[in-house]
Amino acid sequence: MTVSLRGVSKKFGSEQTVLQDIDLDLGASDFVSLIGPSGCGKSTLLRIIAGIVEKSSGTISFSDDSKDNQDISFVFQEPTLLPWLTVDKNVQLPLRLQGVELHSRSQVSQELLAKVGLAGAAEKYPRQLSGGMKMRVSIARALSVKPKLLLLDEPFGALDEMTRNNLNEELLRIRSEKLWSALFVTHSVAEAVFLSSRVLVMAANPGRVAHIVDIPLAYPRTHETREDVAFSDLVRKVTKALHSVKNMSFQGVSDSSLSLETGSQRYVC
Amino acid sequence: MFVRVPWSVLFWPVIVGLCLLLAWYLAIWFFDIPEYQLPKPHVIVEAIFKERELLISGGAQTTIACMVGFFISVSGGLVLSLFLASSKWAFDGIYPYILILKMTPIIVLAPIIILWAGQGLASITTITFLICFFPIVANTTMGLRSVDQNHMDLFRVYKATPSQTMFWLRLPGAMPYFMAGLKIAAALTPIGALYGDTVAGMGSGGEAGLGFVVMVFSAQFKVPALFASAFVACVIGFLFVSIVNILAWLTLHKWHESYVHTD
Repeated sequence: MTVSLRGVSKKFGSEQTVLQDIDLDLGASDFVSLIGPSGCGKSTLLRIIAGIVEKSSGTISFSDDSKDNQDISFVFQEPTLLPWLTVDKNVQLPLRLQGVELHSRSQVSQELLAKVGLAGAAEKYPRQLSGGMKMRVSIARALSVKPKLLLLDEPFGALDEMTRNNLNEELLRIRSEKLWSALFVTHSVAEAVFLSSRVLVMAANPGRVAHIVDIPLAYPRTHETREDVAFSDLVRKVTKALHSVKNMSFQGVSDSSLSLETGSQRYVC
Repeated sequence: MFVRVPWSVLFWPVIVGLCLLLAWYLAIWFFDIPEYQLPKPHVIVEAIFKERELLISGGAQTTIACMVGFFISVSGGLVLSLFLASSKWAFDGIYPYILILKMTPIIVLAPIIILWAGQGLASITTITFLICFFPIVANTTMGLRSVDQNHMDLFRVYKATPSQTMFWLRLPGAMPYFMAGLKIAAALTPIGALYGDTVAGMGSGGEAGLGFVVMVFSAQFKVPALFASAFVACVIGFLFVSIVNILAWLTLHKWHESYVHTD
């Protein structure tokens, strides 16, 4: 599914502009990451696309004639599993909400749990799982509706680096058929570079896209990708862009348009 | 939890219980307390046997009143909570009046209830309901309203209907609160039924409840029999609290933090 955002803005109240004039094009097989300082509206942008937060102005259009956001799924910052349901029933939840009958939804759940390596944990309850396992269940649940666009809001932010790296690799493995495009919010530069075909660096006050960095590394990417020189070059590039954005935020709104321009000349090629 | 009680858990309560019994006897002997003030424990046991007919029939009557009152409180409380949590106007508009009803002392309401429902079970269960429903409503409504915001977003993303959100998210999430309310209500139930008995008992032409039996013993100055009645009331209360504990265990033990396994 392709998504186009044109001039999307979000204001809370009359004063605070969270997002200003966001333009974004997401291709059918894109994996785009949003990175930026806290308060730059990354999560809000995701929620607007998901349809759980109203935008103040601008347009969002989806391909596939799907005017609304039926084919969108969401992975939250926390696993947000229902503690009173087994892992299996948690994965089935979105389908159950859509009225899919038990037989076919348990089949979907079985397949997905096998895919995320948790086939043996189907009858367990969330509190019996580790943080990483919960997140896998959460991803399986998001994929149960066969989405064409997956929105991920810092899904691995609370995990240790080892687990995070493993899950990054697994996420790409699960996506190897590229059945869905992804928009991924993160605080980690390495994660953004590793996963994405494109990284959008956002600035705060107001939230806007300051730099766009293409990540031309070939898929499939494995743990060896991280040792690649090209990978570390790209990490450096995104880190620099992120630093310039941070300085911009401190200079205040009046200067920011100027430094935005010089910034984009320097870092976006 | 209640399935396997290790004997070590019972050891200290039994020891303390025996010490209290001993202290009871010693106090009567040492301070020379007359029987009409504090009967000896074995005299109370005798009284239980002597008055068993009245105690059993009264106890049974009270247990029935408790069960009916408790059932109405639980189902009525649950339905009321679901209604209150279903919309903002329902909560803002109705909850204050529930508070007012709760704040009105039951002693004032009881004569009015008897005026409307007459002497007997109907009035007794209404009084029981008025005493018991509030902790259930207050707790359950709180639970239904304190849903995790992330879970709400989850249900919003997948376009859940309001009733799906209520029965698949809010209600299961409120179960621990509901159970907490149930535990308080279970402990209040015998109080409601016994009090109802003292003001509305015996009128139905049926048998007298325990509350009425207590009034009779009190009038006859049968002090050991009063203690015996207290014992029977305790047993009824314990029965209800146990039932609720079992219910709570059944609904929560698999997932809730309060039942974390230690194996």
